[in-house]
Amino acid sequence: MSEPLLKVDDLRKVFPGRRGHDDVVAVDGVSFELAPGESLAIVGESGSGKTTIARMLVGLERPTSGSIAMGGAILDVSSRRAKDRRARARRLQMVFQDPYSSLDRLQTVEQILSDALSLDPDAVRESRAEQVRILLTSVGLHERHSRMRPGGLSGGQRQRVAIARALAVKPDVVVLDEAVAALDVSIQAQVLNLLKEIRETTGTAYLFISHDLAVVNQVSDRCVVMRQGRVVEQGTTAEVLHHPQDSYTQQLRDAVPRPGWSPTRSAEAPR
Amino acid sequence: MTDALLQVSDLTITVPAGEYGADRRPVVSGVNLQIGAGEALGLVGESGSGKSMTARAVMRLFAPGVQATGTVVFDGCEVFAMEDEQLRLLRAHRIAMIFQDPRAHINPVRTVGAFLIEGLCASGVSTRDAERRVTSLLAEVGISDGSRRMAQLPHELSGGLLQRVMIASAVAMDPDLLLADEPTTALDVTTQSEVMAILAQLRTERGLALLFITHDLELAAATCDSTAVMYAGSIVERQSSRQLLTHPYHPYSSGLMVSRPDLDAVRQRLPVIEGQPIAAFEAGEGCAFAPRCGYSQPACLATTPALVAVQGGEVACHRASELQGQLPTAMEGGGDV
Repeated sequence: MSEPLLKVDDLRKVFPGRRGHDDVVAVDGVSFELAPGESLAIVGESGSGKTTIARMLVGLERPTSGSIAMGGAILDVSSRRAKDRRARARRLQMVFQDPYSSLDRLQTVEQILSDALSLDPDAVRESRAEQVRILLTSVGLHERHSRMRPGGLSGGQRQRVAIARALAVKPDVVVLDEAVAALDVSIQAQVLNLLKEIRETTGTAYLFISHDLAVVNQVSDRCVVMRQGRVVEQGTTAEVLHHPQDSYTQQLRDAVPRPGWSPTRSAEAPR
Repeated sequence: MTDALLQVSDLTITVPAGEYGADRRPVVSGVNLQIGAGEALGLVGESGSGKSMTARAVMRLFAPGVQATGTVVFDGCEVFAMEDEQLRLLRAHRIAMIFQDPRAHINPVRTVGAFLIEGLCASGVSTRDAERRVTSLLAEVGISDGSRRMAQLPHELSGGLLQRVMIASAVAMDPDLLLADEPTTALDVTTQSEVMAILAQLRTERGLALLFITHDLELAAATCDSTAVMYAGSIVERQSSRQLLTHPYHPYSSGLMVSRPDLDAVRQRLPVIEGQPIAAFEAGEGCAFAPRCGYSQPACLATTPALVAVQGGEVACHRASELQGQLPTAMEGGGDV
């Protein structure tokens, strides 16, 4: 295996409990690696800590302990210095679940993408419009969309804009946090195909966070299964999904509706 | 006249549009459906297909300005013609509804117990009896520490627990029909499986009929007797769930099935339905699905296909008989492995 692009080591995040309550350990000693061009999925249900990991990677949360290294160098994700933040943003981008709240509704698509493009110090200002056009085409949108604001776009189109914005700086890694979960079934398939195509042409690595095992099976090479802040199992997606070693992974798999499936009640008391 | 518990005929719903609501836009157009006592019907569609509006029409739950035509007959009574008191009794005792987000449908400053006993107390049951009945209802939906939960406030409960509380409250008055509008969409898969199992159990034990609304065709097909698929405000196909999975008649139903990623097979490219879902008022001439349909022909754009009976169900597609047995299904994987 080549040198990992991203190495997360013993990552831990504790949120202080509100008055009278215990502290919440959201992420508890999580380690994984991401190779260049690889697609790694983090699977888990609500409260598993998967989103907290994503937020720590892009600097939206400060880890309690542990380290995140990119390309061998320890990334100071807690740094609030503009220089450090820009350096991180050039290498690591994020696409959020809800394209309704992750785009500035007052900006046009062109402004949204231009702002992202301006992170690249080598970018030439003059060709900005051309770069925007190329970006839009790469996510299956048309030049005419550049003058529109998010309010005029459908959910699927907005998510394409969010993906284009993430790709603008040609990052090494894109973190996709439930990026297709809010989309209609027919749109979800289009965006999944687009993501696959982008990875094949650009070699961008994905950290794909999802609760949906079928989606994970389609998009990832390897996956990490999380439960209550801990990794319960990791391996190649085919191994983990088809021959789960952990009973929780099996439980997740059994709960996915498919032809011939019937719902079951577990013996455990609901929490 | 059929003896179905619920018979919806030619239901069309319009909402105001334009300045001062001068124009009206259809969101549901010409929907027919029926549910027999104790039967479960899945209603599947994407955003804007009109599935939630159809369910709300059954209880005549409309926002101001919404107009509906057609008829909804429940147990022999015409819902749109009911007097206020009759409608109140229908909503209180005969039909119950649960929603996607239980938190938006429960008073956050009152305890779970107060919420649960309210309906029973209003119909003359004493507080003590109501509490006893509610505790056993909570046990039925898998909440064994009912008395502790009843003293809690909604924010202290997880989404899955709160949805169970909603189900308990919905069946407290022993209704004949439950309208479930995406009740598991916001839940984790393991919780979804539990909630669906609880609904299945309540149906068998109480003979409860169910209208289950979802965007997930496979979930509907796995849990309901029959499944109807809606597109742009109309039903495009209805048949028994088992047969729908193996022999879809409508290209849209087939497309919904094969475009879902599979748990076992990895496809180089997912077969997609091009374009995006539309609402009834955005539909042009002819078949509303034709612009996105891989099987459309010039005739499809000319006239709107009617929902006609076919073996084991109904379909609204000009090419249904030609395409019969040829549409790909989820069973076949729909592509290369």
